[in-house]
Amino acid sequence: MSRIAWVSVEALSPREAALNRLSAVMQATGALHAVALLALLALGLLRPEGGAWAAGLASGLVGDAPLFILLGLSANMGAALLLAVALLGQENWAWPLALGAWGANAAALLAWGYLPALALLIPLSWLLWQMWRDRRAYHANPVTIKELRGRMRGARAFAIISVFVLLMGAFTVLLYLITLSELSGLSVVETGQVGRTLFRGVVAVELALIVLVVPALTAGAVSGERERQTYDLLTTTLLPTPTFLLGKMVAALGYMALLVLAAIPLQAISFLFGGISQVEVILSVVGLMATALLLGALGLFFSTTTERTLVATIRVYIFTLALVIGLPIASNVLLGGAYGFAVNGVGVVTSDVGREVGAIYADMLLTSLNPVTTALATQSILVNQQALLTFNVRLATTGELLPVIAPWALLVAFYVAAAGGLLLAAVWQMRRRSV
Amino acid sequence: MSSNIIETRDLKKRFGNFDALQGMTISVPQGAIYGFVGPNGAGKTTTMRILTTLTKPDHGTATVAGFDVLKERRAVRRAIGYMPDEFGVYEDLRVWEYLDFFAACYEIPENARKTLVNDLLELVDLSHRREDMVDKLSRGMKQRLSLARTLAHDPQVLILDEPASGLDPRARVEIRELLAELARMGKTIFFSTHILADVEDICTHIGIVEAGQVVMQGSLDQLKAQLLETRDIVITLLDNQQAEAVKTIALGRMGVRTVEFITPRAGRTRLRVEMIDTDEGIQAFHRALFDAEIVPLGFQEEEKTLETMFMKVTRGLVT
Repeated sequence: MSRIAWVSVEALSPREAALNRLSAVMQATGALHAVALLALLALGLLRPEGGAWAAGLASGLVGDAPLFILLGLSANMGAALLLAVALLGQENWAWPLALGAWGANAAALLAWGYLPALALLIPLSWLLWQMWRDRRAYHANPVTIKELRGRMRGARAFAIISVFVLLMGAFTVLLYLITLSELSGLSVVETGQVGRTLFRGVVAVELALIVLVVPALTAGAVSGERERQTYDLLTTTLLPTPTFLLGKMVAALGYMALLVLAAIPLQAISFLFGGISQVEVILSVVGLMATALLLGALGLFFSTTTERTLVATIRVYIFTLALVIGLPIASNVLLGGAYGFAVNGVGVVTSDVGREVGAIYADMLLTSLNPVTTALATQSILVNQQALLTFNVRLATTGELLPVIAPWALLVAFYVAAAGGLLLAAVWQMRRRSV
Repeated sequence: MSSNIIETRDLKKRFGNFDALQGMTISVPQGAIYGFVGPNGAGKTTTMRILTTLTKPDHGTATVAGFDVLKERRAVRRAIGYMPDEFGVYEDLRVWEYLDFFAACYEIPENARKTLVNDLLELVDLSHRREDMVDKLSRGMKQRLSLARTLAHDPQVLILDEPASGLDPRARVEIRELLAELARMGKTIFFSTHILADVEDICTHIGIVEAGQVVMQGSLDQLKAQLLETRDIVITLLDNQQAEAVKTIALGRMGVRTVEFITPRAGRTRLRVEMIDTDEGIQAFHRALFDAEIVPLGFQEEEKTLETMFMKVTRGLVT
């Protein structure tokens, strides 16, 4: 029977067992948010006329409150799941994460009377109290420190960043020259066009880098230790499994974050030409980080499913490909890019309002699951709609305004939640295998 | 339970078609230096992996420091320091960082780690290499660093898999001295080896394994006493004819167990006579040869070593 149990208790210290319970509460909170989210979506989308609140939104009766609830639920789901993992790993960053989530929800509750915040605020308040009672549990992760000490030492890390920035710089210059030659024939040159092209190019390269590199960085986390014959050493110490996994994760992402941050000045070159605001730079960094987080968690999860680095790497790249390339193709075939059309003010060919609303919302969700489509949609929203979180699109069928959410916000919330879920699954997988 | 700090009963483990352990039963008393001797493939490493909670036995029970290796793994891990036969390298860490990392893995708070690391380096005589990269160390130094790592959380028992393998003679002696020093500090040391000289020099207890079973186990003094029951006399003679005559005389005496021809040396025939007798009895036997007008070129009692014992109890079953 003990084999079926979540984890055999004898291998856990009393503190780990207590943290397991705290984490279970946050996992339940995250699951609750997920159920609420699905219920809301079902309510909004399932019926052929576009669902109750979608129809209400379209007729302007309801306002955009359901959208904010949807956004809030997604964000809190992500926060709860990530916190659940951080607690298991006894990470010191569980504190800023918990306090930040608490502060944001309290502010939303007070400022806008956002009642769904209570679903997170109540368990979170209890959690913060519990964390304070055993505050010595949270400390710097020894695995993170070890990994970073090894990785950042000497000339290698410095050289990699330098070469990366140099290559990115050369690429930017090349892009600039190409854009310039394209525009040279025109009598009126819009410099904002140049700025946007450069920005888009740099972000695209960074995204490609993250998609190609991050899965490999974490896919070897567990199997790499096995191959180095240090896995047994770690197993016989008292190092908790979640601490090991999160240590690998944070070290890999920290390195990636450094590369992304190092390229910000190149993104900022676009400011010279205009057409790009600070908001876009910040959003791009946030989106890239969220993508790196998800792919890192994906790699880590697969590395716990097999003993060989190669197998884990192949598995994670198959999933990454499906996510980055397969998903937009599928959504385009299924929904015909309804959301993108709506954002750009072009209607979908249908005569039914409900169907159009349904297609737009479904495509909005699918767009938000993919970093490429999200980046493209976000930029065109920022340019065409001047909006950050929610905005209105005009329906082609009736000419009414329909509120929608900017995809970047959904992407970040979804990715954080998925990463949290994957990390929990990785912890579960590894503990199960070690029994 | 008794004063045994490691106790296993009838451990069995099967890997595919290979029976690694076929009823391994060992007991290691508190404070012992226990040499676990046997040929490669006899099940030494598997036993150690079971004791360190890395492998699950198919059958049988094992306790370390009174904790069950299956039911109280965490307590077992706290009680043991384990050194596997391969050195696990983090080639990109410095010596002190390596120890610092493992100390952190044993939940030693950061403010206590600095002094701990320095003390450990002092103990294994690596203070001067504190800032060097781990993979720049010689094999002997790595082994000493490994030993320091196993001591980070002050365990009661050290489980060391082939601590002296692949070391040059000097490094081997250093490790040996270190183990003796640790035993004086009150640690129980359970180590495997196939080098009998190591065992003879420092062990208080010994277990000889073959084909997944213990064939002989006990304190070294006990085993030596058992071994010394019979005495071996090697007699060197001029030719085969004399040797046959000696053989007949020997077999006619009380207390003689076996007589066998052994490899001739420098063209001289040699006989080994295994007998149970007093010094006076051996003198009488010697005199009996002169009475039969045979003058041996050599008449010498052979000193018994662990090696002879080892050869006697093992049958060379494992290749």
